[in-house]
Amino acid sequence: MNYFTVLIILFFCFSCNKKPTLALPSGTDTHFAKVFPIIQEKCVSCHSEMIWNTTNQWILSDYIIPGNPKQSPFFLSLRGTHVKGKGNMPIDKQEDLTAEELSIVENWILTAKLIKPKSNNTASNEKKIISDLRLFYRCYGHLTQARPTPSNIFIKKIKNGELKGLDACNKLVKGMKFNKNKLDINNIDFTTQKLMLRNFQSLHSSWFPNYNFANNNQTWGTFEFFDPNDVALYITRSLFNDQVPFKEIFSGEVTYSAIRKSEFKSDYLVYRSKLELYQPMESFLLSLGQDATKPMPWLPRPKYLERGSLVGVTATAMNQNKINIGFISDAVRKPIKLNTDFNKGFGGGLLGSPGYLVLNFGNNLGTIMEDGQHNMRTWSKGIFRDLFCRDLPVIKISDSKNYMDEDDDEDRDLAFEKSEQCMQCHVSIDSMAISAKNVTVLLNNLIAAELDLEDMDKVHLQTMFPVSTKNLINFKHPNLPYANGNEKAYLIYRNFYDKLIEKEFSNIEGLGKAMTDQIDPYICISKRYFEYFTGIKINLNQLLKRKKIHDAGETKVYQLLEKLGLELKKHQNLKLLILSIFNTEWYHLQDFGYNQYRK
Amino acid sequence: MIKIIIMIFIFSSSAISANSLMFQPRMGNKYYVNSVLENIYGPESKIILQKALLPYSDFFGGPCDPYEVVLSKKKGSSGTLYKCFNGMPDLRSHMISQPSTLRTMQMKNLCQKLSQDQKTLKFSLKVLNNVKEFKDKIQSYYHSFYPWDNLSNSEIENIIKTLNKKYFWKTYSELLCQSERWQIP
Repeated sequence: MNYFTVLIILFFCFSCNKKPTLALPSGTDTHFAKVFPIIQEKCVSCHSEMIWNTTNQWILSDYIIPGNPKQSPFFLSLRGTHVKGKGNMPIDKQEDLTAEELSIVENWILTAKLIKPKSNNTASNEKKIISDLRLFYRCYGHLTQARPTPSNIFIKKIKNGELKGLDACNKLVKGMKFNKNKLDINNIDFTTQKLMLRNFQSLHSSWFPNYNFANNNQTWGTFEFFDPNDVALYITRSLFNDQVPFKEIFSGEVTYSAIRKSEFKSDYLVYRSKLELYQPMESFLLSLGQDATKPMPWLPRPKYLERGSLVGVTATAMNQNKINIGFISDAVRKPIKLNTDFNKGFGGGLLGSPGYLVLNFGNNLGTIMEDGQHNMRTWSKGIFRDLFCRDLPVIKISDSKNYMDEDDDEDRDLAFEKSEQCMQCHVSIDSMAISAKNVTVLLNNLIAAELDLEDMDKVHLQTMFPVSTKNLINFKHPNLPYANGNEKAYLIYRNFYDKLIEKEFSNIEGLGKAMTDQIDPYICISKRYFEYFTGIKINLNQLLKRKKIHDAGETKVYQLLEKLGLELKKHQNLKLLILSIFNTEWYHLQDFGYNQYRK
Repeated sequence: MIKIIIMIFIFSSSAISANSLMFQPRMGNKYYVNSVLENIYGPESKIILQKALLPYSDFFGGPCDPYEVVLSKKKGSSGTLYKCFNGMPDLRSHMISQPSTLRTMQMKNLCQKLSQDQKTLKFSLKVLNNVKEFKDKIQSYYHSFYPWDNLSNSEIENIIKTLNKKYFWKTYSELLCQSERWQIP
C-alpha cells in the first residue's frame, strides 16, 4: 500500500460522510454503553475527535463535566436540551437527537465519574542501586557526553574509598563556573569544564526547536550576526554564574553572545552551500541598499559572531551594529528609514532577544501588527512550548467562553473569536502576543562586492533583524497606532495546579516578570533537566490533565516536579536543581526506575 | 486495510488515556560514543569515527554547533574541529537517542571497521600489556568498555569456549564494541 492510498483511507475515515465504528472496552459502564452508539451515529462523522470510547476520556477532554450536564460543553452544544447552550448540533437537523436520546446523554453525564486505574507496577519491585563508581561514570557522561580518562582523580579516590560517587558528581557540578564571564583557562580541569559548557549549551539549545532564520527570503546572512542558539546562552550563563539568578534570564534588554577561542581565523561563512561551508568571506564588504555597483558602507562596520570552541558568555556590546535602513523584501526596493541597534533586546531577557524574535516571528517580513488579524502568535505559542513546556490549549474549553466576542461588530469579523474551540488557544496566545505588538522584522543586504558571488547569493546573504515600530522614521502605516499603542497584554493559562491565571502586563519585560511570579517556568526547566538526566520523558499536558487518575509513577513524578519547581523558585540556582535531581532515588537506580513504574 | 483503519482509530482514541510518562533507555549521543571509542581505539580511530559515526546525528543524536567550525582557505592554516555534516538541521539534533535498528546497524558497521583495522585493534590491546593470565586479560579488556563492572568466572569461561581462538581478540573487541549497555552513560 503506498502513501497515497493511506492518505485516501485517512480522508474517508475523517470525512463527514463516513461513520467509522469502534469497539467499547470490556467493563464499560452501562450509561456510556448507551450513549456511545448515539455519538457514533450522530457526531463522529464530523467530530473525529469524539471517538473516545471511555467516560474517562470524555471527562479528561473537558467535553463533559461529571454530574453537571448544564456546564458540559458537549451537552450545551446539542439542540433541544433547553439549557441555554449553543444548541446547534448536529448540523443536519434530520439527525437531531430524540428526547429519549437526550435523556440518555444527560443521565450519562449526571452519573459520570473518573475512574482511577488500578496500580500496575508489579513488573518488578526489586530496586537495583548502582555502585559509587558507576554513579560517577553516569553523571560524568551526562554532564559532558564524554567518558573520564582512567587517570581521573575522582575515579582513583572512589576506588580507594576516599570519596562517594555522589560527592564526586556534586564536585563536578559545582565546578561549572565562570571566572567573570568565561571559563578559567588555568583551572586544573579546564578540559572537563569546556566539555560541560559545550554540552549544556547544546542541551539548552535543544529546548528551543526553531533553528532556521531563513524563510521565504533565504536570508542566510542572518547567521553571521545572530546565533540561533543565543536564547540558550541566557540559561547557560545562569548555570555557570552563581551570581545570575534563574529569573534574570527573563529580564532586561541586554543580549548575550558566545565567547569563543580558536587558533585560526575562519574565512568561511557559517551556512552551507553545495554541502560545503560557504567559502568567500575575506574582505567581505557590507553595504546598504540593493545596488551592488554602488555599495553604501554600513558604519560602524557590523561585528560578526565569534568562531571556535565555546569558552564563555558575555553581554553583547551595544552600538557596534547600528543600522538606519531596512527593506520589507527583496522585491520591494523602497528603503525604510530607521534608527536601531541590531543587538539591543526588547526586554524580558531571552523572551525579547533579537534571535528569539526573528526565529519565532511567524509573519511576513515587514508586517505591522494589527489587533486580531496579524500578531505575534507564533512567538507566544513558542513561549508556551519552550518555557512552560506546554502545548496549546492551556485553558479549558469551558474557560474560553468568558473571552469570546459576543458583539456583532461588522468591522471586526473574526470568525475564530466566535468559536469556543478556536478561542481555547487564541485567548492565551493572542493576549500574550499584544506585548510584542511593536515588533516587526526587516532585512538588509550584505553585498559582497569584492567577491565572486553567484546571482542568487545576493538574496541568500541578506540579514533579518527585529525593529521596534517606534524606531521607524517618517513611516506611515494604518496599523501603526495599534502597534505603538498602550493596549494591555495578559498571561492567561491554567497553571500546574489547574488554577486559571490571568495577569496583566504592558510589554515583554512585564511578561518576564509575570512569568517568574508563577511556578510553571520553574516546573518546566525542572522537567527538562529531569528528562535529560533520567531519560524519563514527561508529557506535561497529559500529566496535568490526568492528575485525578495518576498511577504510582505519575504521582511520584508530579510530586517531584512540584518539589523541584518550588525549590528553584526559592533558591534560583540551576546547579542546585541538578544536584537535587542527582539526589533522587531515580538517578541511583540501575534502570532509572523503568521497570518499577513502566506500565 | 481494515486492520490499518482500526489501528489508526485505536491510536487516536488512546491519545487522552495514555500515560504521561515514557520510559525508554537513553543512549549517549555521538559525542559520547566518539569519546569512549577514541579512548579505547586510540588516535588512529579518528578517521573511522569521522566517517562512520559523526555524520549520523539522526541515529545517535548530538547537535552540531556551526560556530565551532573553524576553516580557512589559506593552505596550512586549516583548523577544522568537526563539521556540521547535515547542515543547519544538525543544530537541533536530539541531545540523546533511543535504541533503534538503524543505530544498531551503524554501530555494527563502525565496530567492524575498528576491530578489523590492525592499528586501532592493536592500540586497544595495550591495556593487556602487563596482564599475564588469559582470563585476567579478558577481564581487563572488558573494563575498557565497562570500567565499573566485572565479568563473573562463568562468563569468562563462556567467552573462552565460544569465541574462535584464531580471531579471539578481534571478535571479542567487536562484540564488546557493539554491546549496548556501555552506550548508556
